[in-house]
Amino acid sequence: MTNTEWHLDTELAGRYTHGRVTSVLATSIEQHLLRCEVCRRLLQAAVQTDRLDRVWAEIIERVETPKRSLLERLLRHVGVDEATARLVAVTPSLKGSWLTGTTVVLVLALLAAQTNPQGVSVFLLMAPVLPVAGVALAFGPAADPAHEIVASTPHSAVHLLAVRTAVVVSSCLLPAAVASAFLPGDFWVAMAWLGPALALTVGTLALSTRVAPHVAAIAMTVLWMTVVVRGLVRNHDPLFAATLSVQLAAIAVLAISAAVLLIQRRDLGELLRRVS
Amino acid sequence: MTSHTTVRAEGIVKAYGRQRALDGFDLAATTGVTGLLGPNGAGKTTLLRILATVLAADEGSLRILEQDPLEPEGRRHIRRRLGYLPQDAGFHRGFTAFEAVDYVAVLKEHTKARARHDEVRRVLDLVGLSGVAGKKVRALSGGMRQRLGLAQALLGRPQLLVLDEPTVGLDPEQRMRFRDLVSEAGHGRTVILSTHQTEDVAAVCSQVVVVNRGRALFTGGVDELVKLAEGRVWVDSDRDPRALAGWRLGAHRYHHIGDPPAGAELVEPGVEDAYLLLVGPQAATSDGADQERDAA
Amino acid sequence: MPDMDDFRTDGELLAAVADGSAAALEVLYRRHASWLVVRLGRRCADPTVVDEVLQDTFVSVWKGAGNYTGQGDVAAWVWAIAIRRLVDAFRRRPPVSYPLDEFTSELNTLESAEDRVLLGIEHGDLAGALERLSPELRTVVQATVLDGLTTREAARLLGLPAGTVKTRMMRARRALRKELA
Repeated sequence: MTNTEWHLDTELAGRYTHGRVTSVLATSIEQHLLRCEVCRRLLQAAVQTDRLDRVWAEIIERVETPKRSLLERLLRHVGVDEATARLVAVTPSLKGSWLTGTTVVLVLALLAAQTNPQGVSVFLLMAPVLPVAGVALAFGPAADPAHEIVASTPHSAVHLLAVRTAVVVSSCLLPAAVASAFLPGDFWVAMAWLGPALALTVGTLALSTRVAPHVAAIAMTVLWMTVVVRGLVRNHDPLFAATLSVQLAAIAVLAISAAVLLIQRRDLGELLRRVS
Repeated sequence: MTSHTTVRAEGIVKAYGRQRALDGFDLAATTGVTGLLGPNGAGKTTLLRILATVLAADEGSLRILEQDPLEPEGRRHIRRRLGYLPQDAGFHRGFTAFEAVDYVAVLKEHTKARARHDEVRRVLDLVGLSGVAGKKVRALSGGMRQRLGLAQALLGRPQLLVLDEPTVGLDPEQRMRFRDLVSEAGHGRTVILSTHQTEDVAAVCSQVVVVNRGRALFTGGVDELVKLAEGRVWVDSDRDPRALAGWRLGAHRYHHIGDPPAGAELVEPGVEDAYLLLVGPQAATSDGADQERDAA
Repeated sequence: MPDMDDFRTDGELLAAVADGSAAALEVLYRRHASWLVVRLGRRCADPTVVDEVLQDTFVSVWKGAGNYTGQGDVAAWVWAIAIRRLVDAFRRRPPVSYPLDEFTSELNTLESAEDRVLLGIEHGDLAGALERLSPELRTVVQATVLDGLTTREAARLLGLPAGTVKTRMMRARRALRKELA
């Protein structure tokens, strides 16, 4: 170390701070400062604290702000406001393994459909249930460990439910739609899962005003499975789920459920909270 | 300081099946700190959940911040001015501490991202968690998670703070810090907390409510509560079987409460003594006094 | 507000920053921000740009704390980042002027022997040699040798074409070699 003998004094530090030293002296000082903590401290008062505080506020904002996920940035891009995007992005079922589960189930159904003509019926049976599972996982006390706190906030529970349902449903309708395009046979037959999927999802929500969301989801799933499997066994029609009667029934369930939600929209938030 | 009534509850009843958690509960709380003291199952948590608008009372009249919590508009008004720390406050374990509080801040309608982040940092700093803002909730200790719950309750400087067992899981130093925090929050605002710790009550509460079996047995200042036990606390070199309760202080020194025998060496009562005299010796509260207490 | 009397050394703080401690970053910031502002201010007259550079510097420190090898002064490591962020800032917004030599002529007589002492101690008679360089050559030497920038970075910092920096550097090197030989 060579900095043992020479140090700045307050007078020189002041001159350096205010630019009143020659460039050569400044260079000397600067080389020295890199090595000498004591002299650096002499400059501590050279910059006003509130200026440093301001810059620090910017730094900590950039450093500590949570990283935006791809989904969140996507939502922001299509015009969703920051706060809503945040709530969607932290939807529990999106964070968890549920999305992976959806994909795996769909791929399996797809494989079954490719190797075996009966596979289409497996696909038609499974695909509508996926968004139901997603919705059940997306809200309700089991889904959110902070639900008790969430329930005490002014944010509209209906709004939260609506955005999460929208994201969950579209996030699994999308892969299912892609999968159905690859199914053998008529495209519209393959798309026949869409009506039941929406009916089951909205039906689950409507039922959730009375019972806990996961109970509602299980009830709707069991109902769907029973109807389709019975139909398959009785009619020996692998495309039973795509028949007009099933499709019409699905539309009816969808309409009734939507009406229930609409009628109860004022109290929906509290009803959903109360089942917790 | 003008103190208006922040919470006015009269005859609150809440039943779970045949079990009455609250059985005609009366409470009036103004600015300052109100402490609910009572044994487990006394109805404290049920009352606090009702005050936090997450539960509706079956019967009784309730005004919070001059609003009716049964009306949607009133409820929203209350929730905008409320901070609530529930018992066993949970967060997504995959969130960072920052994200966990930020999530609640979004729900509390802090929509401007920048101002919200500043507010999140402010409350994390208040509870001493700035250093672990980036750590995942699952990596935090129990005490840290408790403080995280407290941090979210402080968001937006609420007019009414409802805290259920806020000192559980805190070490002595953190508890001291918490008391400072609550005392400060009690200036011009209303804090209602439940606790097992009679020392917490003595340290921070301007009003104490002793709760048992869904009713308020006592409501008043700490001094008044302590006064109830005056002349009913004594020490002796041996255990006195006539005492309502007694415990060992040291070698040949036993602390007793109840009706003292003639000529007994009376001592200054504490909050714990008065509390036990009110609810009965079965309802042991603080850990320290649990040792060697006998129900006579 | 972190404890400014933090007993940890800069190196230990940097390790904590690499570990994700924003509190450690703040202690480092409070220790180093002032001299950085002053030094950056000598290279950039616009305080808004200086503040931006300071901000970018500590964000870079946050992201790159793991790259610090533990060799050499943390201050020098931070400065190396800061001067590059300044160059980056000038890429976005070209500099008005490089204010290094504003006072050279008027103050030359004021400081003499004492001033040279320091560079004399640390770099032989570099101080004297530097002083005898023309201001335009001197700034190039300061940017490249002392601030450690590449020719292209120095050109951006000084607002000169890279070719000019290169030729001035050659002339300066020749002059210095003659002086110090």
